[in-house]
Amino acid sequence: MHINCLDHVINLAVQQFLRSIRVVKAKDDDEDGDVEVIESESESFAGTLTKVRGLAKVRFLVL
Amino acid sequence: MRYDVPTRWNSAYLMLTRACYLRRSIDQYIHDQVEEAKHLNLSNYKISKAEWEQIETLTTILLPFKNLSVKLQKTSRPRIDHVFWAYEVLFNNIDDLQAMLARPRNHKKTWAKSLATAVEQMRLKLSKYYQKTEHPFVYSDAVILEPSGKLLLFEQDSFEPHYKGKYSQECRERYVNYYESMASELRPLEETRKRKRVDEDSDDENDEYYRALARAKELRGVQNEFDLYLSAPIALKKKDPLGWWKINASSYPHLARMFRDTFAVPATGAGVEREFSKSGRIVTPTRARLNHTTVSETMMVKGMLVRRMQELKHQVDDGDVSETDDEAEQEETAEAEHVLNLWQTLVDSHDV
Repeated sequence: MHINCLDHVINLAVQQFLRSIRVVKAKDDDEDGDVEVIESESESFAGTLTKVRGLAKVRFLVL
Repeated sequence: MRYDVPTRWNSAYLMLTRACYLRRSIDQYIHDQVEEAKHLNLSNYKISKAEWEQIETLTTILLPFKNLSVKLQKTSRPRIDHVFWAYEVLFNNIDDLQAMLARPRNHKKTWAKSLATAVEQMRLKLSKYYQKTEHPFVYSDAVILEPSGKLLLFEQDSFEPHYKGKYSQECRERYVNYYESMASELRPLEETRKRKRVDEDSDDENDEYYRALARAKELRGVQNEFDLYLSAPIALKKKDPLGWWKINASSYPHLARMFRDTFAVPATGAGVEREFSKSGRIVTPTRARLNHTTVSETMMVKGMLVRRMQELKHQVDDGDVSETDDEAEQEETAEAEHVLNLWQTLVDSHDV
């Protein structure tokens, strides 16, 4: 009898949400291998998160 | 600024909330540096008002999931009876999100449709794992054996009506097959290693009157412990189920064993992994040959001491230099026995 870790389930659900809006890259190592990526109508979320990640990586950005 | 890492849970939420917190500073910095540091192309990082709105919307969506995840990771004993309730909370959050996205003022926004699709994908993912909770009986048994709820959760609208009877019947069958039938072999849970008190009822087994009552009960079909437990009113005061069962184990000794076995299953792996880390600090390279019993008892005692906020105090007795070897040896033996008895007492009295 396998008991799924609830934390992992929550994380998988959130990862699926972020993949669906193309915020994270689709990975092939999903638990059951059934990665679903929905073609989003706009790339705006991905672009926004790219900007935020870029700001986080800026080394001299001391705020 | 924080950076999101795929292997770290909630890192996307943490990155977005930090960005929201530093919004004014980020905007001001980009505005100031665009001209001064053209080679850095900081104009590419300028975040528009609509994009800030997207960031805030994402943090709002991810917040309840982050809160529940952190809450489950924090507790040292994530209770298995909370799993059904946690799923209900998550599905309610998703319903609220979809209702929010369907509002007219949000529905017109271009990115609202993609968000709604993504939320639906999240619901499907969650549903896939929720369906897997139907077969493992530990979830339903834990809900029933929780004294302040029992079958109350299964009477809610989120559960179909037949589940209440189904889970109750299956739990009863497991109790009868695995715990009640083993009653003659197992020692009831309330017995301890302490010396038994002389009880005036200790002669009940030989009393003809009580034997006659026992025969009458069998003919009448008296309910077993499970039936008695369910028919008793639910615990009104909010109390830790471990504490409740510790007190009431004498009333339901065999059902208490079923409770102990059921609630030994954790809802998450965070607490278990934390225990692995603690054991790693006990079984060091210089203590690699420790017996497994020593390791487990050491972890339990340390955990008990942390909970009671005590410290082991070691007192060194200087003693008299003129003692003979025999007296010194006797004193060492007595001290060793005293420490051993103290250790045994601490192990016996550790929490369930």
